[in-house]
Amino acid sequence: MTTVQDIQAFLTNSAVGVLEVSREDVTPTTPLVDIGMTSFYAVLLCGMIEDEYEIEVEPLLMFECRTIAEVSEEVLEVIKRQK
Amino acid sequence: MSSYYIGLSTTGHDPAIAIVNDAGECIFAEATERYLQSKRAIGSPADIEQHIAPILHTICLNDPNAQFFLAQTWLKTEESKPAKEYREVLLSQRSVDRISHVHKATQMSTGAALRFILGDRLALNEIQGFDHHLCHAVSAYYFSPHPDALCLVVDGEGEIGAISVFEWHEGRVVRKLRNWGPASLGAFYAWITELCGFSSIAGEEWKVMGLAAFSDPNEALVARLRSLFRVESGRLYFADITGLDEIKQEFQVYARDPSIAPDYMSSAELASSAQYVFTEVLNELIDSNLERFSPATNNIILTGGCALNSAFNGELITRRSTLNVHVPPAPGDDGNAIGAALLLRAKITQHDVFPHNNYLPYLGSQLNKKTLVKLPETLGLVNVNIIDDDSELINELVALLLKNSIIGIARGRAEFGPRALGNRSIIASPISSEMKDAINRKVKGREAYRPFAPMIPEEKVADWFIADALSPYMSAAISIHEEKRDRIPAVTHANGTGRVQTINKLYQPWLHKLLNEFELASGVPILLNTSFNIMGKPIIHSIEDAVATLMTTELDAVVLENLILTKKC
Repeated sequence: MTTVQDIQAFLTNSAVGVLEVSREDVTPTTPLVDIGMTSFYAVLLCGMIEDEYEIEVEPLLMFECRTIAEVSEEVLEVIKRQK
Repeated sequence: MSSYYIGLSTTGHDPAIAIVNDAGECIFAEATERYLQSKRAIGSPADIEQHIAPILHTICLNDPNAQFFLAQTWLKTEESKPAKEYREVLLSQRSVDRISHVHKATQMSTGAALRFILGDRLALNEIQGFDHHLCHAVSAYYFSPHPDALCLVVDGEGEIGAISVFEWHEGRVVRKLRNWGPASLGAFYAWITELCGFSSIAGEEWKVMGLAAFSDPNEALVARLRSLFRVESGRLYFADITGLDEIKQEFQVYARDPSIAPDYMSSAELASSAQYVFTEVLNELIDSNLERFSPATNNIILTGGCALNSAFNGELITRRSTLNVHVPPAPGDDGNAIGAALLLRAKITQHDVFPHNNYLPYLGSQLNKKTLVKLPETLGLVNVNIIDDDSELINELVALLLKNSIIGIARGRAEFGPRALGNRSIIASPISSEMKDAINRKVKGREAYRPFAPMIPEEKVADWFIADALSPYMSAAISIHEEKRDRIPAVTHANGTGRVQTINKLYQPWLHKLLNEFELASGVPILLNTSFNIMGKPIIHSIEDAVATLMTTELDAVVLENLILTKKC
């Protein structure tokens, strides 16, 4: 059973890799734009989320949710709906 | 009460309409360009009233209780696509703006005519949208002989990216992957098309593909172009998004302006290098997805605009003989209309098993019978010879072909998709080395380098081509046996390939017999087959289009059903 903490950990790792920022700079409540999240990186992360959880997410996900914590909540909801 | 599901292709280029009945059978499909006689019908709605009203009236006449549902080939609007600002990474802003504008215009205007024509027969007023790549996958599966397959959709742009991968099993489909982000092989090829001095908006990518055969790839160009892409776990990425501008700038030195440099051969090396990279990256994508998803079969369905690259398809079929590759007759966005209609049927009926194994692409309009009957009395400048017996007609045609006549054929229903597959074709003998130039000079008026296609009975394909594979929709350019090339110079491209169409005796008996009779007379079971049009125009739609082509070119004869038309001297 995937938990919101699992998703937060996955997204933190993915964001660190994609955005090439230090792990210390990424917390669940850090605004994504503050760590360099642009629409280009957002679409890459969406692809990674789809691969990891075998779900399909909406493109607006990364723009409507401001932080990793918010994205994780939304991803968990999608997992519940689609699985 | 019977239901009919109308699919409308609304990308903005290649609008098309398809009608599917309750049984899941596509009873009509045609691109709008045919009716309008305007190549790609850019920006036009998919439902032109004068085009579709007669077809719908016939359905309603035969089925007084018919009701209709409408579907379109996009889920998202132009505004809601993600990362729009990255769309111009390879294409010019001008091209991106044009694509965006025509997409919006078509989405806005499509459906108005149908609502007017159908009135109360429309069961739902709204047009249901479906995921663009899913439409591609369902449409491709409709023609697929394989019940199980891995399906790759590769095009310029989808709802969120330019690649999707689906798995088909016994009529049911599951999406395995969708590529997010701007990396796009379709956009890459469009960029190269513009650099070579052709128009991607006009869909001239195939001119680049043909030109590629006239040069070897340049190692340095290949290395630089290849550095654009990275394939990982079935996905395509731009290797370095920040370095794209630099490469784009670098390649501007190869840009050919046709008004200053009319010699397109100066772009052959770039075309060849780009085709090489396209082939390498697409092969890697296929391999990566096969590895990732380990499908239980060796069946591959390849669709989306990139599946129109017949040079790649031929290479894939030849190199990977263990794969069974299916490319549908209309892999581009016109073909999606069938997918949208079938998806709507599935949604309304809650029946999620999709049909497949529908071989024939002859789903379009027929010639107007009333005009045809009157033709012998109305054409003062043309001789009309009525030959009711098919065998006699074939004998007459073979006699003309042996005299190196160039003949336009319009019989039966028009093909759905960009290729002329014998029902709206110009045919000629492939034996004369002069024939290619003659057709270009006398009829088509197109670039001299571009190849013409061979058609052959499917049981004889291995005698002439190195891959013993079916190619019913002229989807693959396959190497002709070296010792046979001299015998069919008019259909042998510079690199020794031919974009072959294989003809099935059961499904296409008339064409099959024509080829056999030509073989009996000439020793060659192959005819040259090119689309019945002139350069810059779509394939002919009406009797008037066919007669106009006869009268304004040096075409020797036109066959309209069982009439042979020739000019009075």
